[in-house]
Amino acid sequence: MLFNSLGYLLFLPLVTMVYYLLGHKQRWWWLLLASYFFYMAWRPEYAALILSSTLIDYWAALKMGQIEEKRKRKPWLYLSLFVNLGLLLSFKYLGFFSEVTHDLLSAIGMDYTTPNFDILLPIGISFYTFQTLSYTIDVYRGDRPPEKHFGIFALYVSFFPQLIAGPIEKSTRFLPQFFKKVTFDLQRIVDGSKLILWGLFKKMVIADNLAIIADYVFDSPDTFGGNMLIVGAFAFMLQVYCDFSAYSDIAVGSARILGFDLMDNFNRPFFAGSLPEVWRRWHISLTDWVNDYMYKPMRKRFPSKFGRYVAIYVIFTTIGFWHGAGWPFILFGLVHATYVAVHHATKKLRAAVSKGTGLEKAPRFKKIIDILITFNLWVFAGIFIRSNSVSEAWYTITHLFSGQGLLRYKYQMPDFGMSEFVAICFGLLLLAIMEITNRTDLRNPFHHIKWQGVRWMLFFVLIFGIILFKTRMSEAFYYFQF
Amino acid sequence: MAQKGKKRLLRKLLIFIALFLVINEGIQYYFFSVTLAEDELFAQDAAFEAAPDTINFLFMGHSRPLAAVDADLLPRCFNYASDGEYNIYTYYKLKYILEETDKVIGTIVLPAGYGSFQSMEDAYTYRSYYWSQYVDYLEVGKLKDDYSSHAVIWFENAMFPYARHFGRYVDEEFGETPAAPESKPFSEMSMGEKQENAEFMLKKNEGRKQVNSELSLKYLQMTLDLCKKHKKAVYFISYPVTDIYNNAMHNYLNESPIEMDLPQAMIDSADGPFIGFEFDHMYLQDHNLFKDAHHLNAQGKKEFTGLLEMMLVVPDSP
Repeated sequence: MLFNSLGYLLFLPLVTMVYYLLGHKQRWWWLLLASYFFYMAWRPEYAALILSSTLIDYWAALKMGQIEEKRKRKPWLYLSLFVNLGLLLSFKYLGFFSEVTHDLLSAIGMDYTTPNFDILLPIGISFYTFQTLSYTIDVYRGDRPPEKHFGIFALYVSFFPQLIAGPIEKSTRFLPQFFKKVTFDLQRIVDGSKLILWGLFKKMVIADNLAIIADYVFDSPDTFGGNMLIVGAFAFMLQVYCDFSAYSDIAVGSARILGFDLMDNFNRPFFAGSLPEVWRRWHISLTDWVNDYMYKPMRKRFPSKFGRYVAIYVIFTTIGFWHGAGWPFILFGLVHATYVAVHHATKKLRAAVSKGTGLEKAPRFKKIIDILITFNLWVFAGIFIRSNSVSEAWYTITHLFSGQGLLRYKYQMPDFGMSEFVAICFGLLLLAIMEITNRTDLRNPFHHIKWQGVRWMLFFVLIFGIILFKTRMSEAFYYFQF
Repeated sequence: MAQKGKKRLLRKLLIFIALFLVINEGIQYYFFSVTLAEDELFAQDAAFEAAPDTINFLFMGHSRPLAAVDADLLPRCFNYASDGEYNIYTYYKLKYILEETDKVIGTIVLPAGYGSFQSMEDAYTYRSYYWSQYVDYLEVGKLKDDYSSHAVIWFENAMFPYARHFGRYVDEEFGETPAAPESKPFSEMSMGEKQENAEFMLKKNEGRKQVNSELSLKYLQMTLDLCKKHKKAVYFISYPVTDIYNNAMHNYLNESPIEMDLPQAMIDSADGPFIGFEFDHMYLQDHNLFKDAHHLNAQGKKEFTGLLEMMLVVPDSP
């Protein structure tokens, strides 16, 4: 079920209504039922995967809870890691590894046909796998006791607002919320609905219209001139931001309606002055996850400077590979690792340049320059993640500055007309105004607008903007494929 | 105090919803009375209503019959074809004409040839502000085994008939879209431009690659059954196109083969002839008669209608 479908607009109020009619102790089963229904609306059989992960992790955590000594809990943690990462590997990466094995064997002259694994990727598997792993790791570390209520734990794994594309919640923060008594609060429902509206606008007006350009360009980059490749690269990165942050807004808004507080997943990433800062503002829940469960333990084990760079490359390669099974994704991770490594390695040099050029005395100007450089580097790396293959990514990069007009021949983008152009300009302008003016509370995107009349006008602009400018075909959220 | 706050919030919500409905009504009013004031589809409906009660030949279908037949030159004929009208639309419009109006129709003339039997992916939403008055989207959903998304289309048409179509208005009024056809007369174009024009005509409907032509054929069969039920004869005509278009189509089909033949069983089941002009040499190379690669211009329309007049056998009484 898509957030941007009429089905969801009927599903959420129905779930909310019954949820508040039920008593606190009965609510978990209703939400659990709703969450499985939500997931099974896509492919019912794949719900078995979530259930398997849930059962194994529930059991492994209970066993770990019975053991005092941390070292002796390890086998149960390994069991959890083996099952969860095994499922992820089987359903997401098997085809890629089979391909790599075939290529390697061919390279050394062995003619062996590897099996072709044509498996449909279960949506959300990367997200709920990381979420459930956070639970077993937390129990292993002793950060929280094992959850005894199976229903509540199953709900923690499958909670529908964030099941498909996050935010990836940690058990220590999120699980206790299921025990908190929630009372009906109309104001909270209104606030959650506003966030959903803002998310729908970003998705349906900006992201979906930008996707038309990005899809045309990246589906056949060799048919476009350099200028259009540049436009396509920018369109793609803005599309992904609007798409993914929209999903997060709708998830946070939906959860808020039900009385839950999901973490922020984005914090105006395009206002970041450096690449490490972007990662602290973009897909925050994933960055937090890898930071807590991978980077920090690695740094603890390898505290040297060299260890730091190794950890950076390991982490970003993992992030790239987490996004998808393919070399372009790995390259995306490596490019970002290099950005961050260079950022750390050139700290003194950059300070000296800043001092030498006098930029140090104009911090605002310097900040703008930093933001522009960072944004362009971010867009450049995006070429890898969007390209269908490494060779296409290479073609795009090597032809970015080849000049030529926007379109090589007329009618090259028949689905893109003036209305799509107007929608993008209008949407991006509104987004920029909102992000520049609201710096304090991103969960309440309209809180800084003091006049009710202006606020209402804005709501109507958003609602009718969606109706007027949504694309013909309703697009799935981009991050569903991860 | 809390109770007072709740009441205030509830009141605000009700005012918001009322305002939303008022604005929605306002946009609808503007859309139908200003934006669509000169819409050719509604004008065609009005012309049909004003036409004589007895119609010997009723031409239906897409842009090719629309461009090819001047019904004013044919006695008691009416050209009810429209741009982008596919089988689904034709079926429902014809059903309305035969079952809800007093018009006495003699023969129904349906288009044949490539582009006539495929349904575009977005055919259900194309000009839905107009078609929703005829099309039973819920029935389409049942036949397509996709009830929920068609229920959404039905709901959108009922609540927000202007949705998406405002964008179309922006295109037409203020912008030149990359998809706008070449303004130069077809015969004055260079060979390269002609080929580009033909390729565009095929590419702009790229959605046809993902067609549910089975559904489209099902609707064609339903149309034939409907005509049989009402004892109406059906003629199939494949309208003239240029050689450039045929060549481009040949290449296009090599790249993305799709089913394009009209099943013989359907032709046989229709109580009337199949008249083919698609490969007629009289038209293939006479580019002076075309406004683009596969649509006749005014001159072509006049000549073709003259030819048609000689070929069509007008029944004694409808």
